[in-house]
Amino acid sequence: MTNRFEYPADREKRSAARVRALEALLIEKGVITDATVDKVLEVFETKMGPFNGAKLVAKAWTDPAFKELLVTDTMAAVAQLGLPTGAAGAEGEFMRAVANTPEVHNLIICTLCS
Amino acid sequence: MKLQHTLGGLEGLEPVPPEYRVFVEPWETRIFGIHTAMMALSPQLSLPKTTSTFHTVWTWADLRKGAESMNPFDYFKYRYYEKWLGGISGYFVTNGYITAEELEARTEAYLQDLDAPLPTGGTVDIDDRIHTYLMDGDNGQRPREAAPLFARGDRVLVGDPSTVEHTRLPGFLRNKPGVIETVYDEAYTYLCSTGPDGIGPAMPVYCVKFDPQDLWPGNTEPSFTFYADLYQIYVKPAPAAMAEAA
Repeated sequence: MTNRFEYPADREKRSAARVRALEALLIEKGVITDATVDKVLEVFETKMGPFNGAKLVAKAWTDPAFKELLVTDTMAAVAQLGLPTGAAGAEGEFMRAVANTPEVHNLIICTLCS
Repeated sequence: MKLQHTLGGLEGLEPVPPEYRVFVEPWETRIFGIHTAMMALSPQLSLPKTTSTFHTVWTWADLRKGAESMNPFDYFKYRYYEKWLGGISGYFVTNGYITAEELEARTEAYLQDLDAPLPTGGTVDIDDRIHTYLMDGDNGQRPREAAPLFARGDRVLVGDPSTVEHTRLPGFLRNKPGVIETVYDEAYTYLCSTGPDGIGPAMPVYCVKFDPQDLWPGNTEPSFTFYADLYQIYVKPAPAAMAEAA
């Protein structure tokens, strides 16, 4: 679909400059600090990310009792992994794991994305 | 209803080009970080006050209001984080934190040298609050004050509330019949009031099961079931005739 639209040649460079301009202005206006964005990204790179889900899945592969807990009481299983409060922190409070079987395959979609 | 609300029900858009990268361009990480900081500094949260000058509400709902207010052609034209950059820049201008002119001037300056350094400044209490928010979240669950209107197995009809600036009801589910699959524990607030659309105050949430033949008649695979989590206000009792037919 994207080839239906025309974009300026400097599309990405302009966005990169604009977001840097916005970040610079927000630091100058006292909205955020010069470390804020780096710190947020560090949390998502090291504490909250798909790697937490991968840990859960890997443990479920090797531990049938954990797999049973993961699909019947996901948050109790998550609590065993020592993740931040509220599962994986912001917005991780109500996760539910489902297991595929030979008969049932699950596809999780976002119905109204951010 | 807006086009942005019913992508799951549109035909003729050609194959969907999937994007597997979380961030397509490095610059996108920066707007993600700014947005996350705004959510954490938003004044409605019960978190310690800081020296940040941020004083207006910003939640996922505000991001989404921007996307839903876009011209549908622009909605398709721009990539995910391009929409974020446009919406968030506009928010800071509209709310008087920055002017469009200074943003444009600074953008032109960085266009000349993208690696020019950022300014320095800010106190650590700002980043401490953001970290607390990230670790603790903003749990919308509240004790249930009234019994839920529906129980597992009840036949329901999805409502069709007025189209306002924001909704959490997918367009392709409006006026469709379903069956209550799960009544979730307790009740749940939403990030803001959506006015006549109806969400905001704590209410029960259900997992509702749909037959895809009802959603996309004659145009779906066999052996396929669709589930959606919906706030109670979006779900109505099925008309008696429909219940009897079942």
